[in-house]
Amino acid sequence: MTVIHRRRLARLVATAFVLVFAAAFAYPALLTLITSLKSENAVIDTPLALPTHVTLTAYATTWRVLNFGNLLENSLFYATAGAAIGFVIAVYPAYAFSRFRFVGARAIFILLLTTLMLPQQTALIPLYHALTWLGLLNTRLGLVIIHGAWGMPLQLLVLTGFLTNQPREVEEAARVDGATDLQVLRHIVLPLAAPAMVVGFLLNFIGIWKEFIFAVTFLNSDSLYPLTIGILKFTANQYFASFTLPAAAVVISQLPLIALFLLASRWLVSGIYTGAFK
Amino acid sequence: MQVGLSREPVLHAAEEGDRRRPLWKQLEEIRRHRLVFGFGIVLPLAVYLVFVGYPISYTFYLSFQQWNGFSNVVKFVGLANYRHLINDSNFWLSFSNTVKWIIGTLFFTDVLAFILAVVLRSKSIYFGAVLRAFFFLPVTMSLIAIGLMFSFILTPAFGGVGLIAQALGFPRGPDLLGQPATALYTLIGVFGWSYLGIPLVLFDAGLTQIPEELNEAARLEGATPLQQLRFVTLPMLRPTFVVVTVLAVLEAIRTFDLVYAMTGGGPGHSSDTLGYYMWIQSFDERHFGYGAAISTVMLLLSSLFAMVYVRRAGRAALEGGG
Amino acid sequence: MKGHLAHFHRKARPGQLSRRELIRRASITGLSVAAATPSLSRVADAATTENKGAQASPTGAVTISLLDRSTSPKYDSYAKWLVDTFNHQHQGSIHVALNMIPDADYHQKVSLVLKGDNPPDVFFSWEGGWAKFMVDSGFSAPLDEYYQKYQWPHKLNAAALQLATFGGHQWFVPFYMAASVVWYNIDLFQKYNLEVPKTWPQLTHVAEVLKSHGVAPFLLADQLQWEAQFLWTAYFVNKYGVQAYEDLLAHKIAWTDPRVVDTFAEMKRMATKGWFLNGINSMDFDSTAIIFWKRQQAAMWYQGSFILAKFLSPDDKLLYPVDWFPFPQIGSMEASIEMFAENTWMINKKSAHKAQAAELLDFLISREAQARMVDEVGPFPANRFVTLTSLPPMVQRLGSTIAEHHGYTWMHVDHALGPAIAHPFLVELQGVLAGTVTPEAAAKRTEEAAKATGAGGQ
Repeated sequence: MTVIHRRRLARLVATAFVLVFAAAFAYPALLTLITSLKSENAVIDTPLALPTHVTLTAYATTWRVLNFGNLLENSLFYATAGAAIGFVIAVYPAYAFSRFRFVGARAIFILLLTTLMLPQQTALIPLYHALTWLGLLNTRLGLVIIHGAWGMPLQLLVLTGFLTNQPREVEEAARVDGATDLQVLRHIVLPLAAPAMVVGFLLNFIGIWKEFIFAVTFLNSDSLYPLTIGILKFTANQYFASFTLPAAAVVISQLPLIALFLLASRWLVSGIYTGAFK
Repeated sequence: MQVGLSREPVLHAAEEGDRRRPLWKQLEEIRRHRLVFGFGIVLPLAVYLVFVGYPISYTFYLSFQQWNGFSNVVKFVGLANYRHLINDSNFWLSFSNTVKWIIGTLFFTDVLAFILAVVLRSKSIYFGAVLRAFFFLPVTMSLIAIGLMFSFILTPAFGGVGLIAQALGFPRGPDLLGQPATALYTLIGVFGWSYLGIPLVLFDAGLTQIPEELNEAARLEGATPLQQLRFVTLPMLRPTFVVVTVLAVLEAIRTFDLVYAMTGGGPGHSSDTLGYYMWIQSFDERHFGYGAAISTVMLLLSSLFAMVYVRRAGRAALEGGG
Repeated sequence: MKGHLAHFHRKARPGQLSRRELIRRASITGLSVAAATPSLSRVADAATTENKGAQASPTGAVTISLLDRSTSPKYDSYAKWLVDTFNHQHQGSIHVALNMIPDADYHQKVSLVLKGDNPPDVFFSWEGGWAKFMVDSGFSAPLDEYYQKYQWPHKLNAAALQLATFGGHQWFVPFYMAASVVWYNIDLFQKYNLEVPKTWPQLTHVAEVLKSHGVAPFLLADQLQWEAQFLWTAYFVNKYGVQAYEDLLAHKIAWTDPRVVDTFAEMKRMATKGWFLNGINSMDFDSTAIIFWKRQQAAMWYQGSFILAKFLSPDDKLLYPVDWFPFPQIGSMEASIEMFAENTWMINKKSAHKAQAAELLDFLISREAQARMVDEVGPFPANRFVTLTSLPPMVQRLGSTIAEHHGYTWMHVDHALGPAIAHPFLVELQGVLAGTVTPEAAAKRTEEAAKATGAGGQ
């Protein structure tokens, strides 16, 4: 065998190995999909096996009964707007902390990080009061602002970590040329930090999408509920007996996240290079 | 080439780690970069104060009271809640469980996720991107969905583990979630499984930032892949490690959803964690003051960690590499 | 020098948007979305908000708000029907605005809503200890005058009426009743020639026979900690009597009383004797347990009648060969069946529209509404004139047992007591079943919680 063939074989073997591990790893997640495609009886008889007859009735029923279109819209809105707000609030501090030294920098950084230390449950009552006072209870805006405020430290952490690792030569050159802070930020720093921005936004988005405690506490109307609340009627319920319907509900809820992840991955892969400033 | 603005070497000062510049010079800097400081410090602080600062002070205040959440009577009890906390064996059990949770999680995030990220990005396998999606899949599942699925899989009689055991000749599989000895570790495993995708994605993004030239240079100098890892990859990824570790530890300290969805702290109290115990005390048994005291302890723990860790390892993050 | 910036401004690759351009576009989109949110959300909310009576309520009509607990899609559609029908019937005079909170979060959220700016006029409450909690906290209005005015004592079955009465007043209207019995698999009993046991020794015999054939006598799915208490309470009451149980709840007997410890010990004995299907604490009542029931790996299941939601098909046919018998007599005490109310509605003490709220409650337990409830949600109704002919005979049998019973009997621990005592009790019981807690320790820990809270639960 030539050297190239041997290398290719080694790669194939390694890939197969990791593939098996990955399939086993993802199996519990895939089990939801499998369950959603079976009939109820098939699930009870063979919970873990692949479906012999694939059926989509669970999806049709779920979509109709739970008014899924509305739920999806709401989740999409909260996650996008919330992560966007989080990003906007996080990007300047990330820049400031990574580029400037000033008294109290570390203290303020940690202070902002305390958001990540506070259990969500603790904040329910005071935030309920805060929203009532602001008149934003049971509104989309209220929930989105809270998500933005709580998502900010995550994005801040990710962005700061990346920004401080960036070489500064281009920036310095730009400053020498007379660029203002804003210009440096927009044209040089952020573009190079694209991977971090994408990842930060993605993580924040996912966090808001999966979140339900804030949603259920600060919203009252059915029409405003996101997916996680809407599907509670199906998942984990002693008054209800179905396996396929909760599974279908969960799969539909997961799809946008998977799509987003794939999109973000392609972004990251499609040529983030670091040789811009040779 | 001085054009207009004076070139006070702000960035150079940062790299030299010189923080002892006289205050007036720092204020001068702030004034000159006021847009950045305005949006960068004042705005987030304002948002923080309303939505985070207020809850934190409220919690702190509540920890000195006795309140059942419904009545209008909120009774001041001084340090009684904290005294109870010290004598509460269930609290200390939750505490030690949380410590185990942290350690277990760190294995998944700082070791497993890192190795996976490197392997999936390396040239030694095909389809790295697709495989990465597989590992990311659990992250997209909500905790309730995870609870549902693992209810199936971990059932000793017909669950996946059970089937494997039966294939090996045992009458049934181990009752992982139902035995006090294993319940907590099973939960930690499930949590690590569901969380792994996040550090994976972070490491992955960090890896894409490493200039190919560095690896090239190392290879040309005769470095083995392992040495490349040690001398090129790891140092460049240090800020990412800091981010990953901070996120993982903070998440582990306040972990609640999984315990809520899968075991309810059981059997008995064996899988109670601080985050869950606090929830039960406040919203279930209606001892809001006591729950607030537990929250305060959790906050102190987290801040302690953040201050110590970010101070030492964070030096790499805040003061930059490159 | 310009060269540096210009160098960077070059297009990244042919055919690809420059990084800068992409960022710019993305941030503009993101920021415009964020900026547009206020207006968008206000518009959307105005069009969709249901609470605060913001809807098109006819002029002159009084609007009352109802806060209910959302359990299943079937229940939700029933609740909607109820509100819509009522609104239609009372067009121009009363309008009800419905809000629902998911079951899992009702506990937590109801306190916030009740103490908030716009508390509901009518709201869901559990009975027993929780109801007392609501009353003591000043949220529940006494309903004596409405009970008289609408003659509810005549309409409700005796158990329901008694449940609603404590401290000399009526505090809520129960409308969804349940009873706890031993559900058993007819086929398995026939296969092993077993007769329905009426005494504890007979039950023991049945259990031994089943065990010898490799079938677990009982299914017990205690993962969520609340399931095992049904068995615990039934054993205690049937062995030591209802009065002893009442005394325990009122804390006239301590939880460290030998009778309590014995009941914990009996649960442990049953577990070690192998009376329960393996995997008690990892079996989830909501989902996995039914799989074992279908596979006939266990013959009996002691639970409340809400379990019928799992046994009946959508068109009310039995999915499994099931029948029931009351929990057997133990010793010389007369055996009794637990009867309780799953759902009740209260009127808010601070409501300005109690009379209108009472109208709604009257409709709630009317024959029309209760019949509809049995149809859509399931048995059992609180109105004793509703027939159950659409349901299988064995269900009807239980229904008439409830309807004709001379009064309320007793209810399981976490309905009878508030959460401050009930929750530690449940956790300790699970610990006993898991073998990590001794019966004595479980009793002691519950006693501590009871002492800290005072009788009746907080």
